[in-house]
Amino acid sequence: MKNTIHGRTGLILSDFDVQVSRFASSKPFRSTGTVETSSPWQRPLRGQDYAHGMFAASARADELSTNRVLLGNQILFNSYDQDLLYLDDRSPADYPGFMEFYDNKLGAMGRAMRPTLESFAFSFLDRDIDVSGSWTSTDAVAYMEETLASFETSEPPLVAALSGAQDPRAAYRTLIVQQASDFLSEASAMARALPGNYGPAQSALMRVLIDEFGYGVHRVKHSTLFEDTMRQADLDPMPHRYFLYYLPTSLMLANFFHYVCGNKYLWFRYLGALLYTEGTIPHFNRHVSRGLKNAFGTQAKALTEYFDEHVHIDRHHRNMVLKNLVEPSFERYGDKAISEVLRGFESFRMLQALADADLVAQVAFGERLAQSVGRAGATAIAGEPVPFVETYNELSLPHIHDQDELLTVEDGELNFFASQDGHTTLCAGDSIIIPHGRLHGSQVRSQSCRYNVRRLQRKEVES
Amino acid sequence: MIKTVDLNAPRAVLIGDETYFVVRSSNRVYAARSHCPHRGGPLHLGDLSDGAIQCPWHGTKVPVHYLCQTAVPAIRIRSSFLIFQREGTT
Repeated sequence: MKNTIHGRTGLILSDFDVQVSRFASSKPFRSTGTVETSSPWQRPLRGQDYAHGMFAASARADELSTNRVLLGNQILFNSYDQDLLYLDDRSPADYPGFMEFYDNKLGAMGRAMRPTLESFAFSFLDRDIDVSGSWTSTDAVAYMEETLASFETSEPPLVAALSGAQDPRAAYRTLIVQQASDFLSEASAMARALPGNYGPAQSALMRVLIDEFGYGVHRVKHSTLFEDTMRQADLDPMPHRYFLYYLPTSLMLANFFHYVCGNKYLWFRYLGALLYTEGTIPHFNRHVSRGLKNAFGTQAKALTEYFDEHVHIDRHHRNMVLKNLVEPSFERYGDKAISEVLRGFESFRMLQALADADLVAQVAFGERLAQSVGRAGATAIAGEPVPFVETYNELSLPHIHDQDELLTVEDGELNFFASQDGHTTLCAGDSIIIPHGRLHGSQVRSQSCRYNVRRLQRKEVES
Repeated sequence: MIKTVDLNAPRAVLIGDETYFVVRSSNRVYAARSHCPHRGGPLHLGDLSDGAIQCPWHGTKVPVHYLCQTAVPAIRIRSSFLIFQREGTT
């Protein structure tokens, strides 16, 4: 790898560092001054947060809700998405934006960074999951079926948390926003696994894909059904309008499928992950559907049709994946396939559990924003204040702190937010504690705003 | 049947009528049957030395690599260890 000396700092930068900086500062990834994007080709990144060697050490399972994991997964997500075509009826005027997002050189830059970013984002799964002992195909199938059956014995904890939130409607809207990272381009990662010639399994996967794409009928294509859900929930179905609200763990769920579908050596892991997701969705979605109806006080079919459709079709998909993809792979490829399928199954189970916990914590943070605002000085020990002065409308793109921090507004007014519904206004003298690991951003609402941020002792705050 | 074992907790676990114990080798973790191939002694109570576990009953030395090769199906997920027992094996 070649190194470059950075002119301003004198740091020796690797090719990778240079690529990240160039990629993140290119036009489609610059801030447009709004937290909700106005075209599918705007994906603002906080390129200024990138530090030399930031992705050199791979992420750990216990630090997924951090800024470096957020930024790494945002870059990876945008790079994968440059392989997917997004067109939006309302944005034809932004043809230059379309051309810039799909620029050949920019796409190549993203693709060149992928191996490093994928290793950064997902190699913890290799460390944290290990399959040992002498597994037969019968053992592996029985193990996965038992795991899926045990998932169905109780209400999913995420659904219980959303339904039990102070404002279940806002909580479910947050779920939908997070799911939009994947469901608005549903099964696009799966489509990456199809090309080639790999026997009957290829046709079996095609049959699953046909369902995902509504058999060519646009109205029942799964992403179309999800757009209907978003409209019913008063959310905008434009692809990735809420990109800046995506949590790092939500991005990881979407990225993981691109990672295992795009890298052919991970084919068997993909099958395991696919079985886990197809196997758990019917139970999960049945509960989500019920929760949505209660939260929104309506039986409107369009609100829950996406989820109801999956309650039905994914029972078939679970069986199709098991009988037509997984079991024939065990038969043909033996021990190696068994070990890899189990690894993929457990990898996605772990990612899903981590994402669910992250979302529950984010919903709780958003709900207590208003109560978290106090007068300056009301909280205990803090470090030296770091001052900021920003002008009207200046947007601090959503990001995450690795330590608890206390933000105090000295002059002016700031809109502080944690999600599409979790907003609060901070005026002069107001303080708010920002727990480590929680996504947040702000936008100045006065002519100018002076505020400071101080680090807190971790023990003081529950995230 | 799947039994979850905390790798930070005791090293032996009873599943059905069978005792299993955790064996570590080359940074990997295995679920071995605590059953000495000599006369069925409790290997989980034996001492480890020179790459073998010595059965407390008759002093038989059972190589760790043998225990790894004959380990039962298991998956380590961080510090949890999921041991899978086939139906009808006890």
